[in-house]
Amino acid sequence: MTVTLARMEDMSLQHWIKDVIIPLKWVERVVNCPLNFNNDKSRYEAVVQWLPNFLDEGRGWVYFDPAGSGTCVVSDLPSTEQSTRVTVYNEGGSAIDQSLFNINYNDGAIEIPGGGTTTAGGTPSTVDFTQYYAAVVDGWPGTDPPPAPIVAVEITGFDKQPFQIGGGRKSVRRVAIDIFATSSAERDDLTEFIYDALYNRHIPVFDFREGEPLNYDGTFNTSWTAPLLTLNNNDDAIFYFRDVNVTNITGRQEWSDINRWRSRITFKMISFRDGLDFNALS
Amino acid sequence: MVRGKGFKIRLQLDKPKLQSLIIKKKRLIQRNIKSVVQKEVIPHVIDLIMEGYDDLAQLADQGAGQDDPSRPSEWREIFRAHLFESANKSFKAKKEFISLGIGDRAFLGDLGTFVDKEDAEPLHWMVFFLEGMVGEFALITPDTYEKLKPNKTFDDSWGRFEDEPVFMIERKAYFAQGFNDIIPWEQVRHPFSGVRPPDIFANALAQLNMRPFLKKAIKAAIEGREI
Repeated sequence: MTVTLARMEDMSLQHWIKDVIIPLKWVERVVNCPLNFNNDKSRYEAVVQWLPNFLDEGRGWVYFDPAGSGTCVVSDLPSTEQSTRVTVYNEGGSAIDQSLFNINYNDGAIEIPGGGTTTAGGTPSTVDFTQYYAAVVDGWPGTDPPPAPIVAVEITGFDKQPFQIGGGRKSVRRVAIDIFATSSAERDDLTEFIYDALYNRHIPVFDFREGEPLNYDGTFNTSWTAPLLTLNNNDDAIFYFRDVNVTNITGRQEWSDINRWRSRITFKMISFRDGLDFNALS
Repeated sequence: MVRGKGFKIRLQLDKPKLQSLIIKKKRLIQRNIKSVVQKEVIPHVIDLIMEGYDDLAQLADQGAGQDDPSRPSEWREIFRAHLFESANKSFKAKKEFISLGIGDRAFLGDLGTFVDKEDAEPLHWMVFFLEGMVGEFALITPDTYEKLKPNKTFDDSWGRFEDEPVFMIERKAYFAQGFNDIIPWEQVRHPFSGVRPPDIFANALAQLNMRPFLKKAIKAAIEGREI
């Protein structure tokens, strides 16, 4: 199976928005959340107390530590599993060492290796965690969207163009980010935040050939090191955000809650490279 | 001995004359391009937009919501006429530049504020479809409502439009009210439920190939013809 740059650029954009940018501000801290043991699944599950909740599509628990300090400027690319976002407590209220359990970030669950109900640090009783407030979904949310706010990211098309001089080419991918908020204030804040995270920026293409930050079962992929994709000429693959535009979408007031406060950010992702084969990787 | 006869021509480059010829030809090209854009490109682009519009209309006509006053098929000619009107209004030709805007957002009633319920402009209703709809909805007409709630009367002040009182209800609410037992969901489900924004304008522009139009204008100018 061939993995193309189109796919890895798409995944990199999703990774950038979901794992790096949104957790800087659009997450919320839940503390003292009770854990219930699910016998069927042999795991502790956090009780849903807040809405929107982590079980929604595009939400879950945050699995990286913050990559910046409250602005949309990133200080570092996150590459290792969080150490400050999730804390599990035993019956006595003491924190259990994170090495004694696995975390399912998609389901908000604690799994003890071997399937037991207790750890050397005690029996899990409550958990503090950070969950996504804004759901980040891949593509148009369709008929069964999670509750707002939603950030829907999609590459809507692309074309490739020659350089003005020389044999290289550039790929121009058109992207639309649809934002569905719960109020006009939230729409404005979320839209501007994402806009600023894109305007005049460029990001690396990550190499997802060895997996993504999360495994399919929702646990952290400990092999993940945020590897950057290298092209066959040893250049790092990079793409640039250009022509970033925002449009607020307004309709009639009774246009359902979820469709009521919307905006769309459109932009182009442009990557350049020499050579004939755009997808020749190292 | 007969000497061959010959003649001499004195060639002299008359620069001002040549410049004037070039300028005349350039102006003819400009006029021809302007004319081709007005007479052929605009109708062609509008045809392309209408192809997207007709796809939308077909989608609406296939599903439930036949009583939906915002159905695109109801407003085809009005929509088309507005496209021509906005194209002609926005068309500008200044020396080397031609600019044209067809169907901007204000034209569809998207003025940055909510469209008022009393707004009877049908094109403003198109926002529902052109911007895409997330979620699943049913369109409830007065008839449907009175079947769902036989003991109650539809209040004409409800709904999306002042003149055409219909309203939308989300799937979850429809089932929660037990309406599905009276009229199955499939019969009332709005055909645009969950449909992504069909960008009929950008798609038309993506299909537009200006080259043959420009070639035609330039060829006619080279031959000295005005289009």
